[in-house]
Amino acid sequence: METPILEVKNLKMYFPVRSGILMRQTGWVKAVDDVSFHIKPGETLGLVGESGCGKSTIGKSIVRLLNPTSGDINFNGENIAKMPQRKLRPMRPHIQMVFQDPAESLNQRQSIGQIVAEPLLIHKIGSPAERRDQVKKLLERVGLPSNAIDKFPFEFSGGQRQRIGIARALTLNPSLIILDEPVSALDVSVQSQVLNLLLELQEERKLSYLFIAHDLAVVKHISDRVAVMYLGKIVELSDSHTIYQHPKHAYTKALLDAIPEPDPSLRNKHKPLPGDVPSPINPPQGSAFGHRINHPAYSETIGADMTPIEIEPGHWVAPDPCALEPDDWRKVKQMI
Amino acid sequence: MSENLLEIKNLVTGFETEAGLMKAVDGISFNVPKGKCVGIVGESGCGKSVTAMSIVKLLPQPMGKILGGEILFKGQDLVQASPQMMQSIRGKHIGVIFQEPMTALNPVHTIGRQISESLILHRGYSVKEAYNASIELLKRVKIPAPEQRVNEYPHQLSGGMRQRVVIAIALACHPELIIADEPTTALDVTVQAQILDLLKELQEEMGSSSILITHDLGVIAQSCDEVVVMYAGRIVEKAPVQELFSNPQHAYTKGLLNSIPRLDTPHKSKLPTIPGHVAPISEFVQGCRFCQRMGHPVEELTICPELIEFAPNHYIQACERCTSLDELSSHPEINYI
Repeated sequence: METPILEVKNLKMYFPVRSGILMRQTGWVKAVDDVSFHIKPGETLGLVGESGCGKSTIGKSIVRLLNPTSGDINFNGENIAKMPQRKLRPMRPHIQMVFQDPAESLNQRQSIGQIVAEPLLIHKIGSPAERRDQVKKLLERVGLPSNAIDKFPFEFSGGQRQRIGIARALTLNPSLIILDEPVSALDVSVQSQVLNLLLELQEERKLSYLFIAHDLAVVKHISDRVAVMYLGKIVELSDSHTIYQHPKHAYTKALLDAIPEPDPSLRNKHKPLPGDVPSPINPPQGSAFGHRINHPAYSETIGADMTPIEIEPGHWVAPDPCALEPDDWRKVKQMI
Repeated sequence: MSENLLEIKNLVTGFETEAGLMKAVDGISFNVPKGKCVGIVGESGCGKSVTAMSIVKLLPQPMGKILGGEILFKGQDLVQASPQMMQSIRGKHIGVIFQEPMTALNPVHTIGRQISESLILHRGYSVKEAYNASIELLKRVKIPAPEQRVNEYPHQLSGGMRQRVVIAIALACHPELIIADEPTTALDVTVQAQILDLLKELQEEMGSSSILITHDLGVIAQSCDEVVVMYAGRIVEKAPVQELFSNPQHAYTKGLLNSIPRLDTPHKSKLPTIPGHVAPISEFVQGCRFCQRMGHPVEELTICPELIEFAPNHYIQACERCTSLDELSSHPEINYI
C-alpha cells in the first residue's frame, strides 16, 4: 500500500463547557470523538456531515489552529498533533487551508498582492520583486485578471474572492490542502467554475485534498473516498462510488435521500429523516443516530464501541444495530 | 385555466443610491394561480428577494421604491395601497417566511408571544385565546412538546425548530398567499427535507398559493408547480416545472441545470459552467444581459429582448443568441455535455 501523506489516528478534540458565576468546568463538548482516517498522495478525501458534526474542527486540528485533546496526526510520517509551534513552523508550508467564507477570510485592508504574498514574507522566501512575480503567476493560474494584484478584496465577487483564497493557499507549494466548505457560499454557476479549478490544480500539482462540505453531491463529485460524520464520529467511510451506490449506514442513506434532485419526476421518493442532530454537550449514551430515529435497538447500543469496522475491503462502517440492515449487522457483529 | 390569486405586471423596483437609480427588478410579469406554488430561482443579486419584498412592500426605506407596474392581489393593486391597507394585508392575507430564522425572530420575546401577535392584531383574539391557538399552531408545525416550547425563547431552539416557528407565525392567520424567501438555505439537508415537506402539507391543507424563492433548482424541482427563472433583474424563462426541466430554452437555464453536480455525474469529470459572472447592477445594459455576461460588446446590447411564448405557458425573454445552444457550446471556456 502507498504510504499515506496524512494519517489521523484516534483524534479527539474536546472543548470544556463552563457554567455558573465561577465558570467552573461542568462538562465536555466532544466535537471530535475518536476519529481515524488517512489520505494518500494525490487523493481527495471528502468529509460530509450536518452542521455541528465536527468536520471543520477536524480540518482546524490538522493545520493546528486547534490543539487536539488526544490522538495522532501523522503528516509524512511525523506526528504533528503535539508538536510545539517552533518545530511546527517548517511543516506549515506543506499543509494549507482554504476557508468557507471568502469575504471574511481575506483582510479587507490588504491588497490582493499583499494577501497572496504574505506566506512568502512569513517564511522569508524571495526578494520583493520575485515575490510579486510569483504572485502574478499564481493569480493568472487561478483565473484572475493581471491587474487584480493591486486591487482590494471588496472589488471582487464571491467566486473571485474564493480564487484569491485558493491562490494564497498555493503560494508555498503545499502538498495537502484542507478545503473547508470552499464552495458553499457560492452561486451554482460559480460553484462549478471553482470545482473545476480545484480539479485542474490537483492534476497539475499532484495535490492531496481534505474536502469538507455538507453537500453530498458536491463531495461525491470531487472526492475519491468519502467519510460521513455524525455527531463527532465517522459513521461510514468508503470510495465515493460505493458510498453512493451501496451505502450501508442508514444516516448515509438518509443524507443521500434528502438531496433535492433537480428533476421534478423524482418527487416524494422518500420520507425525510425525523428529528434534529442531538446536542453534542449532552449526547445520547448509545447510538446517536438510533436515538434520533427512536430505534427499538437503541438500548442495546448504550456504552457500545462505535469505532468503524471494515465490513468489506476499503468500506468502513460503524457497528450500529440501529443503522445497519440485519444482514450487515450480523456480519459486523462477528467481526467485533 | 385556474384563476390567478396574484398577477404581477411589468413590475419595476429600484433603489435610490448616491450613484443614481439602480433598477434591481426591471419589468417582470408573472402570475400565481390559486392553490399553486410558483418558484422563483436565480443567483444572488438577480432580484428575486426584491420581487418578494415589493409584493408585501417591505423594501428598505427610504431607498427602495416601486417605480412602475402593477401587483394585483385578488384584483386589488398593492402598488397603490396605503401603508394602513398593507398592514391589514400582511400577516392576514399574505404570510412571509424569511430566510434567516434567527434574525426573523425577536430574541427577547417568547415564541408564544410572537405567534400570538398577529392573531391578536388580525383576528381580535384575547391574549388567552391567542396563547392557546399558538400551542395548536406549534403542534401543526410538528414541534414536540408544544406546551413547554411556547414559553421558550428563540435561542433555546435549534435552527430547524426556529424555522418551524417562523412558519407557524406566517401561517397563523391562514393567509391565501405564502411567500417563502429561501426558507431552507440556512438549514441542513435532512432538516431542509422536513421543512419542505411540512410547507407543502400545510399549503395543501389550507388551499393557499405560495411563492418559493430559492437558488437551488433541486428545491424547485421537488416543490413547485411553476418556475420563474430570473437573471439580472429580469425574467429570462418561465414555464410549468416539468416543461422547464425537460425542455429548457434559455442558455442561462440550461447552464444552471448543467452546472449542478449530480450524484450520477462521472466522478472528477469537469463540470459544464457558465463563464463569467453577473455584471454589477450599475453596469446592466438595456439589451440582453446574459449576452453581456458572455462577453458580447456592450455597445451592441441596446434592445431589450422580447418575451416570446415558446410553447403553451412556456415563455422566454431572450435574444436569438441565447436561445441557440451553439452560443454556450462554442464558447472556449465551456465544454457542453
